[in-house]
This record gives sequence, C-alpha cells and structure tokens, in this order.
Amino acid sequence: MIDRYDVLIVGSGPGGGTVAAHAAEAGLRVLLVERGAAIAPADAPQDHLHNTMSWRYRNMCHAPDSDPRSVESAGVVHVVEPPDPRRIDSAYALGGGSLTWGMQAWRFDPDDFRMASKYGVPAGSSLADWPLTYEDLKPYYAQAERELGVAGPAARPGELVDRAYPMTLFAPSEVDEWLAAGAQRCGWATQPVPLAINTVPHAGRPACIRCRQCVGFACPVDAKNGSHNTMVPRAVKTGLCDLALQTRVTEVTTDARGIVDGVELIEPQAGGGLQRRRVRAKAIVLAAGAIETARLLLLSHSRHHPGGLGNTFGHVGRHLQTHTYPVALGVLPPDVAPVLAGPGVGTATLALTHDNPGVIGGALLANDFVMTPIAFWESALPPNVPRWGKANKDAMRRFFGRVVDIRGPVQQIPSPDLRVTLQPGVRDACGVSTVRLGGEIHPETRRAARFIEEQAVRWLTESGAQPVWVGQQSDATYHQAGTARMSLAPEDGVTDRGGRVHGHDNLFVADASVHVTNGAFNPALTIFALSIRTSQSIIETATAGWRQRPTPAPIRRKDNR
Amino acid sequence: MTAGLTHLSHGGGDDTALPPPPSRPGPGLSDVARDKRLLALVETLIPTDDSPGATLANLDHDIESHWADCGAELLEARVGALDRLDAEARARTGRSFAELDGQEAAGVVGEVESGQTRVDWPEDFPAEQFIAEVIQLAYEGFYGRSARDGREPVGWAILGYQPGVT
Repeated sequence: MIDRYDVLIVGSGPGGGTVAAHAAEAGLRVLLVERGAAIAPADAPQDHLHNTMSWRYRNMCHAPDSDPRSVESAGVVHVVEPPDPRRIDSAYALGGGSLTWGMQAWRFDPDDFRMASKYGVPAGSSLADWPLTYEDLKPYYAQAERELGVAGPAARPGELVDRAYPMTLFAPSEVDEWLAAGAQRCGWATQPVPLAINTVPHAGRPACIRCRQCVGFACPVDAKNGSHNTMVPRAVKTGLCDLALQTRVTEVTTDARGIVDGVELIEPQAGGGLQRRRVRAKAIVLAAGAIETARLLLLSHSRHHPGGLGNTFGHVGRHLQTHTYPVALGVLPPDVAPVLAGPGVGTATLALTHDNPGVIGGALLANDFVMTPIAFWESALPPNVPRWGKANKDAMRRFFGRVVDIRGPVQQIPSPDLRVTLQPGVRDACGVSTVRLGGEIHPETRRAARFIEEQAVRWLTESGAQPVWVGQQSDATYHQAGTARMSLAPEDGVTDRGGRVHGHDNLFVADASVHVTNGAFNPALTIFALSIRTSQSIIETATAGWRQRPTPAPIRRKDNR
Repeated sequence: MTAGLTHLSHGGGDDTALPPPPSRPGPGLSDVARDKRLLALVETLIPTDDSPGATLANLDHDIESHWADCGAELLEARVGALDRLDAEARARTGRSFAELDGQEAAGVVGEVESGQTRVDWPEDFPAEQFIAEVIQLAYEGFYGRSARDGREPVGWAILGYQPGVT
C-alpha cells in the first residue's frame, strides 16, 4: 500500500470489485480495501451449521473482533454481536456476499424503477421513483451478465432476457417441469432462473459439480461467479490495484475546506497488531453494503459536514430495505422425481412482480435451493410432524428431498424511519462508533407479502403437491439497500444518478445503498450493472487529476447523526 | 482436562460408567464416564430403530463438550437441569430417567417440554428452555456437519444424503 491512489474503494463485493476492475483497467491506480480475508476454494467452509444462510450460527467467514450493532425492536434496543442475523450482515470476505450468494442474476423489472409513479406514495412511506429507468440500465445489465458470467435460458421468452447469456443453464428437472405445468393452471408463464454459475468450464474455472450444498456456502470448485473470482482478479491482473485485506476504513477524511481527500484506516501490522494509517485518493468509493456505507458517511462528520458526508438533507441511513420472503412448502407427488443435485433453484414466475390486486409491488416466485439435512429439519417438515422422537426420524426419512419450497423476494416499501443511525456509547473493538438499526416494516410490505404467500400456496396446490403449508415468513437478513438513495435533486437523496454523493464531486457510492427501491428480484445483478455505470463517472473524476475543487456550498441541514 | 457432567453431578444420576465414546479431535471428555441421564434424553429425542440413533452418534458426548466449552456456570446450570429431569421422572414413575423405557421417557420429556413440571425449575432456565436447547443441539449433531470436528453426521446415511463435495 502506498499513501496516495487515484481511486480508493471500501468493500470488495459486487459494487467495489466491479469499480476496481473497471478503474484499474482504465489505467488508474486503485486501492481496494476489504475488511475480510480471501478464502481459497480449497478452504471453503463446508460447515452446515455455520454458514451465511443459517439463522442460528451465521458465519461471516472472517469473524471480526467485537463489532456490536444495536437493533431496536418495539422500543427496546438490543446490542448484538456477529453472527446474530438481526444485524443483517453479509459475508466478511473478499467478494463480500457474492462469495456465498445464491447466484440468482435477475434484472429488475422496468416498473421497479418507477414505483411511486405506478402506485402513488403510501402514507408513512418514502416510496419514490429512481432517477433512472430500466432503459438507462439495460446495456449495463447485459454487460454485467457477460462480465460476471451468467447462465440463462437458451430461449429468450421476454424483454427481460433479451440478450444472449454467456452460458446456458442445466437441463430442467422433473420438478421444474411439474412446477411449470402448475403455474400454467394458475395462468402464469414461467421461465428458468438465470444463475451466475459456470454450467460449463468458463473464464478459466471449472463447471459446477452439482453438489448439494450451495446457497450460503463458498463454492468448493470456484464455479460460483462473484466479485472475488471475476472482477477482483481483473483488477489485480492490471498490476495497478493493491488489495488491502483484513483492513478497515474508519472514516472518510476531508481537508480544511471540507473536500473529501482520503480515508483513515486500520491495517494489520507485519509483526502482529493493528495500526492506523491515512491514505489519500482522488476519488473515494464506498461499497461496504448499505449498513456500513451509511455508517462511514455518518462517522465522517466534521466542521463542514456536522451531520456526516452527504447528509445535508438527512437522508443518510434512512430508507433501509431488504426483502420480505413469504414461503410455501408442499410434498411432491410420488411420480415426480425429487431434485437431488444442486443448485436446485430452477423455475420462476414473474407474473406476480407487479399489477397485483390491492397491493403495491410484489415478488418473483421460484423454487428454492437444495437443502442440507439440518436446514430441512429446521424448516421444511410438514406441520403435523413432531419436533423429535421416532415420528420425527420417520418423517425425515420419508420427506427429505421431497418437499418443494416456493419463495420470493417481496419488494419492501421504504420508510424514512427504517434506518441506520449511530448508536451513542457503543463502540467496536477499534473504538469506532457503531450503528443502530431501527424502524418497522411498512404495512404495505406486509400486505404484499400476505398476497404473495397466498399465491405461492396456490402454485403448489395447482401443481398437485399434497399437503401444502405456509412456512416461516421472514424479513431477509441480506439484500440490504437504500441508505444512500440516488435522486435527481440533492434534497431528495444522497447520491446523483451516477452514484456521486451530492455536493461532493469525488465521493461515490457503489453498492445497493443507492437503490431507491430494491426490486421484486434478488438485487445483486443490479449492483453489478449500476457499478459498471458508476465506474464511468469515477474514472472521469480520478483521471482529471488533483485539481482545485470548489468548496461545497452549505445548504439547509438536518442532523442525522 | 475439561470439567464434565460426571464431575459436577451432585445426586440424581446413575454414575455407572458407560464405555467412553471414541476420541475425536477437539475438546472432549473421552476419559470420563458418560452421563446416563443425558444419554437417555438424547436417545429419547432421536431413538435407535432399524437405523442408528443418538447413542451411536455420541450426541451426549458432543452436547456435554459444547456445554463444557461454554463455561462452568453454564455447565452447572445444565447439570442442575438434568437433576431436575431426573426428579421429574422419579415424581412420575419412582425411577431415574435413565431407567425408563422409551415410551415412558418420551412421556416425561413431552410433559416437561410443555411446562407440565412437578418439581421447581429456575425462572432463568425453565424446563421448556432446557428441553428446547437439547433438542436443537441433538439434531444439529445428528444431521448437521460442523467444522468443529468435520466428521460426517450419522443422520446423513439414514437420509441417503451426500453433499457431493469432499
């Protein structure tokens, strides 16, 4: 690590890795700072209890030292440490959440970008349109699919899949065909689920081996495509990108005029221990996820920016979203062969993403990934099965592999009160202030989730599953978004449509923090696509050199600390 | 050596030693006797039938090791809970929990799990919480592979499950 870079990126997930690749390939000197470690495929944990999808023992891959977060629920604040899922963590590792993700590589629907125009703004919500459209992002989606390596349907049934994917998917299973027939009886079209996975050897890495532990695990053969094995290697290959692993940025620094000029970080020392260091850069890119990015903006307060960076209008940390997941389960008829090979997710309907009666938004619905035995015991046995004893053991033998799980990410309606703030008095192991997550899911989200749950039950019932029951509905502890929303006008958000923080010409956000709404889809491909788009502004800014920047004009301020 | 249930046991248990479980990596109690009450409890939860159950899976040993790792205070609370489970069995049948047949043991566990207790349980660690904890730990040991020891869970073979990676 040197003391001065063109571009300094905080976080190596889908956003940060993508910016690193594009900036380094443009000839810029890049520092990519990642809090976690690099995990080689051979070292990929195969622990069925401690993985990122386990609600009980989530493993962040690189367990940080004490790093409390405060979670407010019904007026009570709980201080929780990793791996408590209420923290809404992603994997702490090179590649971030894309190391262990489920690889669903969906584009958002055109209506996902104009939710307020389509549905109006419900009371108590901060529902808004994006300052860009699907058409604006469409070429970047296609680019992201190519650069990441997405396997998609060979046939292209609709506008959303109007480009050739780099790879074709595995052949559909009997369950996929059975679900497609059931959806047809509901009047819904179906399509295969696009996956960022090597279905054939691709980009110098092998094909998926169809193992039966997938989502939540780092891939043991490196066939799962994420930032860590696509974007980051491209950046490093240029010789212009330094990786600072197990290093934490604690503040974005500003000069005497309030202009962003670098970061303060804590890095491991060669002989052990940690040391603080200041590193300067022409452009700073925050890509640490919607919680840590908001935290950094709030932490970086100064005389010129008393509420934190980008927070003149009090939006930093607000509008926090994930997705709400309704779940329905059903037992396969005896004549349908179960899915025994991963990944398992195969068939989706997009018929319920919008235009549903009486609700705002909706969700895609798809069958879920193959389950590990302990996950099956936890969540997928029929409701009349005792929790333990001989009957439970018999039911495990009878039903394992034969239960189909239908679920989908219901688009959450953002609320200004669902937010990330700094929590006074609670500091991490490095003495840095930590965050509080507070607020309630908007009632319209709950209404939409109930509707989608009913449709999931309907799908399984029409398909012929028997019995069919409702699973545990949950607000996802991943897909964090919204806390630095983009807007045309500075008073309506934190960044402009290019990811540049309003009032700062060299500070950018390149993660789902900028999402105004989080779509009726898994959001990672949108992060990759947006970050390719954002990279253009970053490259222009960093290429311009160390120029004299005007001091941002102070405007009306709302203290959001 | 890590303190174990048999060292902390203070009445209510049958200290007749069972064969020690096979030694395996990580902290364990392979050189001390197995607690027959805990063994009977996990066997009630995951019984042996035409396929292996909790006993062959050594779940009692794993749970005991887990508790020991969590510290003496927690371990002592669990020993107290086993004492109370034993007292619940005696209150119903006049015999130790470890002496009950499978149906009797399941009856006791079912009642205690639902809060139908006949002895006093502490407010900060009630009967329902104790049973729920042992259920969770037992099934995690039976069906879930943990990096802690890395071995293949006994329950996988029963389900015909192989993760497909080595």
